[in-house]
Amino acid sequence: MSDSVTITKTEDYAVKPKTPITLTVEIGEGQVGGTAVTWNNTIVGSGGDVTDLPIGKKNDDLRGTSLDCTTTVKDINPNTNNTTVTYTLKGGKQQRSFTYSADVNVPEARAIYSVTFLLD
Amino acid sequence: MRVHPSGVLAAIALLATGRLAAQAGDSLPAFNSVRTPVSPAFVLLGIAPTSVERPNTPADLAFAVLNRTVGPPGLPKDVALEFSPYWLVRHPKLTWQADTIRSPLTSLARTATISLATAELDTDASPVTGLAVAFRGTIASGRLSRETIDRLRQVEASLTEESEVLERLIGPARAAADSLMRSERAEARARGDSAGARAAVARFNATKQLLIAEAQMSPDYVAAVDSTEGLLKDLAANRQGLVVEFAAGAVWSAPGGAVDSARVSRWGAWVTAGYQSPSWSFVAVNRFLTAVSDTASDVLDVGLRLIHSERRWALSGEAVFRAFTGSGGPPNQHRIAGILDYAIGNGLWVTATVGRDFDPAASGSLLAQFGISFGLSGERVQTP
Repeated sequence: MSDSVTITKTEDYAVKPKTPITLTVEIGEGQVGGTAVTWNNTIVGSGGDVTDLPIGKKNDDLRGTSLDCTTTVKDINPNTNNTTVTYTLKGGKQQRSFTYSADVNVPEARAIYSVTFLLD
Repeated sequence: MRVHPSGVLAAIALLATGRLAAQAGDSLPAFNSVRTPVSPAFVLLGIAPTSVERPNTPADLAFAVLNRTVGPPGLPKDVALEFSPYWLVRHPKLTWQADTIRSPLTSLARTATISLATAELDTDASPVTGLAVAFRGTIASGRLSRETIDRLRQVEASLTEESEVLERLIGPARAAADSLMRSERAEARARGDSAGARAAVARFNATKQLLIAEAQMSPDYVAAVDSTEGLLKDLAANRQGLVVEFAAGAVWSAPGGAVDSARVSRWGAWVTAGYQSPSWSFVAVNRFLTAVSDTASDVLDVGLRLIHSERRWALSGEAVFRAFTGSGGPPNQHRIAGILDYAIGNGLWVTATVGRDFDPAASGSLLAQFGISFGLSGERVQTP
């Protein structure tokens, strides 16, 4: 897997007490990819299209927990070697989007994004 | 025969082949998907290996050389640089699903390219440096086939499985590292040490890097990757259907290479239309080229090209009818050529052209060109 590029990020996201949040993952640049989402040590969602995935239930307190996302992007776009993934969190104190980009060094290689959101 | 394959080109090709093969294994591109097309600037300079070029979007940045030298091999003098402004900037909101069908304006934006080329024209005794600038864009660029879309959805599911495998493999160790990072960060913040808090997060990110690197060697992950690669083996994200491309540009000629002597000597515009299927393509071109100082050499070309392509190679035949539209021009002419393109590496193509050029009495009318083209997108500097 030496052809792959790994991007690791950790971000803070302020949540409201006893209020669930949602996560949307967008894979840009015309590339294809898939995401797995872990919360409380359990995979709570996955797929190429993660849209408004609920994290927690009503009255769940998310503070002090982590939301971990692994997104694997495969470079299939012949026009560019760039990959971009945007994670959007809603339902907290404010809506926030986190966009990350990376070029794969070799056409048709993978970019693996490992992003942890610290919910506080 | 006016052209000899250059030893320099061969050396470049061999070096590039070895390097790229080492990077990409046997995963060669399909002719339809990533081949760097002949630069329109080369067409204006009259040195393109084909007169009927199929519409095709190059990589964000592409570079092409042609060698037409007579005699001993030497450095190629005909060089073209072509870039796509749209693909040189990031598009975080552009999903692959949103690019399966394009409106005319969208197609134009995503396929527009600007090319610059230089070539040595005329003879060694009376050298003229030609500089061409050209634009092209496609207002209809076909669509992804249903089979390709279905396959990409399968690839998406397989990449999701890869991500899930990684999550399962690194989850427990990452949770432990997360707890440690949180406590270190809390301690650092308690003593007002913001740098220490950032360092704790940086260590956590580095730990995740290591965990992923280890997980990538596990049999489960390797199996998941193999499964994805199996789906991609015969897949090229080809666009199929009707394609219509416009191109235009101008040539500046500088006798003796002197800047002060440079003048616009030629300009042209053309439209190319065709239909692409997975293995066969049909292309027609209507092109007008005019010389500024000599209207007798104004030409109107009508050409056809039929292409059969496989994953590694493409064979095509073309015929072009040329009418001289200015008064005092020579009789009508035609050109017939066969073209073989062969992939020797990822994004690296050898092109060989044989046939007869327009004026059979002219020196060099026996076409025997050899060139290489390659996209530079794989060589871009990695960004953090």
